[in-house]
Amino acid sequence: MTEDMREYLDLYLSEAEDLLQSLNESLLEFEKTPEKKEYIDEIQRCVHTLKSSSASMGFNQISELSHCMEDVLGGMKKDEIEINDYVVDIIFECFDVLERGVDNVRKGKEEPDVSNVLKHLDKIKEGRIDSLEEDVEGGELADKPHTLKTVHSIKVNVESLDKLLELVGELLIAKMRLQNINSHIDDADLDELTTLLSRLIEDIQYQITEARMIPVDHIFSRFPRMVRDIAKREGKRVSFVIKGSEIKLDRTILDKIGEPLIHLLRNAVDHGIEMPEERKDRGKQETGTIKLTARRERNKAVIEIEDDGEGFDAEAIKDVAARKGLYSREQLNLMAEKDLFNLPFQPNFSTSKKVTNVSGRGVGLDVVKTRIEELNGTVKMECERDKGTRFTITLPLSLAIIKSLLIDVCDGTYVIPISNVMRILPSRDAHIRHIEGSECIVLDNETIPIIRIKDKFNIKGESPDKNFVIIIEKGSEKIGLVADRIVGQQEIMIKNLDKELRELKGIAGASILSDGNLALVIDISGIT
Amino acid sequence: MSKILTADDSVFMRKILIKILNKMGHKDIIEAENGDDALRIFKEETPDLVLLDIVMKGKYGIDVLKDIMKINPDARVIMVSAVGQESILHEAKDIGAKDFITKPFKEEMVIETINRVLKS
Repeated sequence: MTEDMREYLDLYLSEAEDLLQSLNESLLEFEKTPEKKEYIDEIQRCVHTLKSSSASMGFNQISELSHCMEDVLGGMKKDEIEINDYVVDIIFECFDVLERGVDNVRKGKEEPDVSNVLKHLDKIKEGRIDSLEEDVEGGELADKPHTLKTVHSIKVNVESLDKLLELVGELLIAKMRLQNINSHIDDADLDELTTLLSRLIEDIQYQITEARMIPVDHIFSRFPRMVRDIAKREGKRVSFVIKGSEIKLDRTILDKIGEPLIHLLRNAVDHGIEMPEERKDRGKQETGTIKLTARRERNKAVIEIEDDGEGFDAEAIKDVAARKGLYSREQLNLMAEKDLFNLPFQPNFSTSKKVTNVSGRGVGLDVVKTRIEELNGTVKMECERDKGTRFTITLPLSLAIIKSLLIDVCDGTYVIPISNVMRILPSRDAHIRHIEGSECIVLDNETIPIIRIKDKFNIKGESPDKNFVIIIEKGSEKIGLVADRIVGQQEIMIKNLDKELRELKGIAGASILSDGNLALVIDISGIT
Repeated sequence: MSKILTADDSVFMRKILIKILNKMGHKDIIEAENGDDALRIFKEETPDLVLLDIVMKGKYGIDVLKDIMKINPDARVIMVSAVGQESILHEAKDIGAKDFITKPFKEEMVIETINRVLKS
């Protein structure tokens, strides 16, 4: 690259990456129906544009390869070159080399050697090879199978997967009813059969749940460009690292997690990472780092967004909370650090001093929290002044069928997702304390507010003095729900409520139990 | 100072051209990123000079040239081409293009060509 072109490098790279993306899409379409030539025009246009700009930048290998590809594509269009598997494979191979080339340029490395693919293109041009059998030359291409590809995957409509999962839910209920009947007649053969049925249903459920999962890369792949663009606009330097993009999540969850992630990433660039000079003054590297990590922890997926920027400050949080009148100074000074760091998730809270068009005035952490809790997930924030901020999002792997705790309140059964349950304490009304008019219990020196389902939903009936307090994790807070009786654990399929009932606060849906009765599913994020 | 339209589907290429044009003292520059836009802008703005890329999304440069010539046979159009399009350039000259510049361009060549065409 010549020195006077250096100022155009970013523009070149962003355009080259766009071109490669549409080239990739057109190539895939072209591969499906190579006999149709409508995609060749678009492929040729992309290659042509890449050729010119690469030549202008002085990236001669990329430009030369594009030039030769353009010739071959022209020949294909004019029927001078026969389109066969070999030719298509070489075009794909060329694409890979171009992609590597642009990637190398971005990383400041040497352009890759294109002589090998050029040789193949030359042969195609000269018409020396027009079928696979003649390709006896060794090298990377010879290793690749050119024969008909076996179909390993098919596209399935998401709705039919939803339907399948729903049917598994029904199957689950039928099985439980069978178990229930058998508990009365106690037949050994029937018992064995129900156990087998159980296992089979579990296997089907697992397979369908897996089939619904797609790698987080599906949404993660959009982020590098976004982070780059925002950083550029803000005049910041950011290195963006993605880890664990192969981790899979249920597609319903994946569909809904994109927006909160975009918000957190924008915040990280906009409010987290400092300007290069500022970083230098603080003894940091001028380029900040933002890490986006996905990993699986038992039956949960964890997504982390971490930046090494300026970080929230406990004092700053106290100042804002006091100024906004959310709490008094005395209350704030008594607050544990983790509770302080939970405050920014409250509506109308912001510690940001500046307003930008990127992420606004720090608005939206409350929205992020709501979105994630709607998915039965949790989000917490940790930070250290000058060191950075880390958001940890925990999500269930699947939404439709969940392991649940069944509880009884005044002869009615209610469902709580097990993932939210931290502890179950046998209790008595006498253990429940009253502080400032609200009920709570003290557990390991922590005061936990109590919510009585009976009062919450205005249920009529008598409750026993002996009861259970179920400690629920709600984001980074805890609450205690009072139940008369613990029924047990069950895998349940959540059914959505009808439109008229959907607005009910604190109810996420309903489920049919093994005895055929209906149970309401308690919406942990909506219960206050 | 002349009003100049530069049509190229690559923003990268347009920026390089605009920098050269600015250096020459031309500030009134309009950009088009495809053939259809180029034609529309030509009609609306009647620029003194058009720099027309050949391979673009939608209408190709050579077809835009034909339409421009129908509107104004004296229009000053310089074709911008890449290596390997020499045959099209003859066709373009026959249709009415005043000159051509080849990508990757040398700044002096671009300046010289534009000055020559603008004086004509």
